Amino acid sequence: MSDSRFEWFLNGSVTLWVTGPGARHIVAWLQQDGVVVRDVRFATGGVMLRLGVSALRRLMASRRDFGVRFRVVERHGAPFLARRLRRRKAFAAGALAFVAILYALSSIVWRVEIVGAEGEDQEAELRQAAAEAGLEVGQWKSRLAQPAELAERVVARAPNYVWVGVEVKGSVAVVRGIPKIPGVPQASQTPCNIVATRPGVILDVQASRGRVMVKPNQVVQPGQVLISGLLTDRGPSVPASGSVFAEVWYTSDVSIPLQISTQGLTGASVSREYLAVGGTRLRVWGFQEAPSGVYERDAETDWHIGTWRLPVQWVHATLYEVKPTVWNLDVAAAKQEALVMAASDVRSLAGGDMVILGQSVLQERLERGTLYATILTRVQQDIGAPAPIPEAGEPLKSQGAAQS
Amino acid sequence: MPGWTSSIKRRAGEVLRLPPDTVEAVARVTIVGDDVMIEGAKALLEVSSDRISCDLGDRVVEIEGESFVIKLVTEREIHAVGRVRHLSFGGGAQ
Repeated sequence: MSDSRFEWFLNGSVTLWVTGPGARHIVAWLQQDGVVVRDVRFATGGVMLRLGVSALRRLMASRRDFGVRFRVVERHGAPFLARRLRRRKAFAAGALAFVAILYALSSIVWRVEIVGAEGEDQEAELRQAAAEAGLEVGQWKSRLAQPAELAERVVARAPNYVWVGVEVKGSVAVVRGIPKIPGVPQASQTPCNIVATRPGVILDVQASRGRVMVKPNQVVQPGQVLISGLLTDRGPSVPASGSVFAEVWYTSDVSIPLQISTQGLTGASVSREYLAVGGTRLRVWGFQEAPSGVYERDAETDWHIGTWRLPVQWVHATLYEVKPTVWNLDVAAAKQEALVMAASDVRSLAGGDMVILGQSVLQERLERGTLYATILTRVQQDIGAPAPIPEAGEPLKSQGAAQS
Repeated sequence: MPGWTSSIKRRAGEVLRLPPDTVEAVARVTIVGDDVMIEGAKALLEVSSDRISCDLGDRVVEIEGESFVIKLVTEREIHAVGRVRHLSFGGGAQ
């Protein structure tokens, strides 16, 4: 028979206390029978020894032949352990339940970790998408689909993500997402017209979508439809788009004085040094006579002890000579100036891209040294702007109103 | 014929430098400190807390000592622990 310790444990073994006349020789007899014996201890009156269970049966059968009596002192090994467990049912059930519960709890997703989301909204979106795809806290891991398939389902439900990866690590599911970078916003798809924003004469119409309603050299009024979003009377409507260049007239009133008097520095200056004590200033240096008109600039020191500013300070003052200057403009230059002023006025009025086609002086008069002029500026600019398509029946009326 | 085979086995063991007990049916008695090992025993003749007597086939080994505890007894091997006082080999048991 086998004598490895594991097999002894598996099959079970017993420690026996052997007494009787044959006890002295029992080990020798057992050895000659081919029985494995362990842990033999000799004591007065008997022998303590350990036998396998199968050997014990043989010893039971031939105990009279050997002339021995024996008593089982201790049982070892799996069969006896199992019997003890069978007796303590609650304990065995508890041990089984522990293993079962541990296994069950370890096969549940306990945490869904979102990686790569920027901001709470994106994280919530990805979490929501994962939950809809079946990946949420409390879900059985065995119910989850394959990670690749799961990732596909999540990314299909998260429109703001370009890629999603799912990885299940123990009871933690890691959802890794790469958010989409927002691109150029799509042009509005709601049908609309292009209407005129100002009165003008059409120069050129470049429609990229829609039906052109005006021709070059046509006069249009504000609100008139230039490019229609309605392709046919009852047909589909599209968002009209395009550029409508028109000649627009602006009139500006400008006034240019012919004589301008300004004060200017001549460059001459004198300097003074003062000792300022409290509110009064004592002149210490610089006794040159100052010119009649001066502009004074002071530089005061900032002496202080700690945070306390001293009442005694030094002031360096520079007096610059100032003389009035008179500029005289002739009428031609004033007229030129008026045109430039009118152009800048129109530029601020028109807004956006524009080209000045020409300017003409409508009216001018010289009054008390000032040139008053009314100037017409002709400008080429895009006058189109999108506007919603009016309800059926209404467009004719509004168009008529614009043209009248 | 047994003489033949045993002499050939002995020669082979010598050539291959093997320990004799691996090729021949001879016993090996090892005592390391308090550990006593008898391998290749034929029969255990007598065992008690102060005496182990074992038939090795061609001779009998008798170990005397104190407080012997037999750790393992199998058909071919006897392992014991105890203080050895005296070791003697006797003639054939038959």
